[in-house]
Amino acid sequence: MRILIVEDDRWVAGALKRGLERAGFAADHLRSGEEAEACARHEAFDLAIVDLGLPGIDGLELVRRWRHAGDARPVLILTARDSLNDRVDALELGGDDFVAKPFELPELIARVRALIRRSKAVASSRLTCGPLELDLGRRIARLDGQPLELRRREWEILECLLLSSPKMVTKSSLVQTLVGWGSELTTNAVEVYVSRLRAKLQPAGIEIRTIRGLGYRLDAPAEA
Amino acid sequence: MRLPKRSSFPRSLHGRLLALLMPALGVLLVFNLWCDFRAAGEYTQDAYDQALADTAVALAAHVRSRGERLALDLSPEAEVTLRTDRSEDMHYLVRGPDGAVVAGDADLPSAPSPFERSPSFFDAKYRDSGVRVVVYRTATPLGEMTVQVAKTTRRRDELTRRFVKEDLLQDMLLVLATLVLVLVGVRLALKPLVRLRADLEQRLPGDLRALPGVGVPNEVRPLVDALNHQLRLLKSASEAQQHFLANAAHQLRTPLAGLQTQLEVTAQERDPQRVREGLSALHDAMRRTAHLANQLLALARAQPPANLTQGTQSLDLSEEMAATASLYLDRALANDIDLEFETGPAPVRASRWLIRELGANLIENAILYTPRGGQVTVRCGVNEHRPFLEVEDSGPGIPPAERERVFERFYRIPNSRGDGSGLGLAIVKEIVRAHAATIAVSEPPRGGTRFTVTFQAS
Repeated sequence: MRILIVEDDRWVAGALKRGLERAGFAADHLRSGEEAEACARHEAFDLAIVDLGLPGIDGLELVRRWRHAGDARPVLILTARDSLNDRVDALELGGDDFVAKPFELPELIARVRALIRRSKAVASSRLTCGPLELDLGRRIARLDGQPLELRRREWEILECLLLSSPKMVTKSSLVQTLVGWGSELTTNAVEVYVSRLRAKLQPAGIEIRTIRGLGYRLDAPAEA
Repeated sequence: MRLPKRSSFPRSLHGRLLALLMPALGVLLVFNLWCDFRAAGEYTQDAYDQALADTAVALAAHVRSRGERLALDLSPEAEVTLRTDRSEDMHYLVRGPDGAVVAGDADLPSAPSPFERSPSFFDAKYRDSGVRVVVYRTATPLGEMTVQVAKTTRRRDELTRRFVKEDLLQDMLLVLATLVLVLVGVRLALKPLVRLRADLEQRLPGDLRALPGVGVPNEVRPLVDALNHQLRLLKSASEAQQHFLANAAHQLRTPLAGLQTQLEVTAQERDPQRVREGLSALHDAMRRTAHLANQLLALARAQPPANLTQGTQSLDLSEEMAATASLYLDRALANDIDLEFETGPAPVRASRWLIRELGANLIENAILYTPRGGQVTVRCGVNEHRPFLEVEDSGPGIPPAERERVFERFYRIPNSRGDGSGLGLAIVKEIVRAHAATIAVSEPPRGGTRFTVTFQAS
């Protein structure tokens, strides 16, 4: 996995590069929007981390140009915390997610993983999260390489949680996702499926956390 | 006073007064001239007519009846005397009762209409000059005869012309004097304003002292009072800002100093285990400093006038809490706190950013001050038509005496646990105020603290 960092602050970029490399990614660093725009045409990368406050072409403009040129690779926007409007713009103009500065490295890496997971799922119809792998085309699940037995609703709930992770999924939106199956589904039923899933995934370190009164969140095992 | 929108309207008070006064003065001048002209005309006319009538009466006295006819018995000397004037020409005509000419100039114009009164006067044109004519009827033994005397009006017209000329000159002098007086008066009256302007212009940018009220005319005093009121507000706002900045600088400097010392100590450490501990402490301190910086910024943006730039929209508190719940879950997991949501629909009109800050600060505050193993419950819904957001914790609670003070900036309850920035609840209070909501602190039945924010009924 190759990640392009577009950030003019050498300190932040350097730390980010080292952090990402330690987490198993390859990372390249560019300092300006102009370089990044040129580079995107011939360099292969899987995800870009773009700072909003770049000199010259700023982050918003860079993302806009990429999207305009048909480049659909995921972009994680870095933004100083003081401008809400910037964040809204970032997402509207084609950014896939944003992280506010100052950020916690583990959180940023979790977001990067999630973005890559989602973009790969679209491309290869495969969802992975640590030791868990869902082949969406053939509907086969593997845990630590071993086939994992999943019922249809367990599968749907897991896919839903996996696509949203590290964000939460509300119980009501899970019910709505599953209601298409023709029969009524209660939140109690969702709880039953989740507890079954939990029992199957916990041995591999994958946690499905309950946010009491709201919903669930799938947490991948911590990685070094 | 609403000023006309026309761009041609003068901007200076001088110009304005002149623009308003000039046409009025002009009209007055014309009116005055006309009145004077009329008065003077009547006066000279009366004297003129009187002399003319006297001449006609005198002429009539010279008419004698000779048998069946009337005749003017005028000696040539008398006629010369009668006809000659220093500047005017004189003409006369005497007609008998049958209308036949007795004597005089037969072509003298007769009265345009029959007169009731005798003598009567009228203006006419005779031999290319304007004349004033008197018609005098008087009885004779043979019947009523008519005596007409005409006199050119050269002198009269000349008099009137001269009079008008002098009058006009006088009136114009008066108008000019009025204008000069107005200009001088305005300048004098505006002097206090000019002084005020000079006072303001000479001030240093930060000088917010009240303007002097001495020597200010009554009409300008409300302006000075309003300005002084505004200056007082600015001054207190600026002082509050100064106080906040000084406080913020102090609050930021403390963790930075801690960071620096920690860093220096860790750099000299040789034992890898202690280096790791030092780094962990550094990370903690760093996180707190970043949090403080964020909180300072949030506070600055939550209070007026910055919060005015936060547009409001229709939101549901339960959706906003769900959108940010994941964040609080991490915090709760790290502190071994059982975080629970009991949320129902709660529609409000608010700024999304500020509402999320509100929730974040209340929940983080609850997590921070609740011991491990404790519980934090977030509720929202509608109570008696009013949407509310409630955060309850099972922590040590806030003594009633402290419940007001906890909203003060940088205030911490003495001997309390937690290492918050001291700004969280101050931010909450600003956001509550910005939304015209209310906040109450209470103690739930099972102990701890409950903050309830109640919004206006929507």
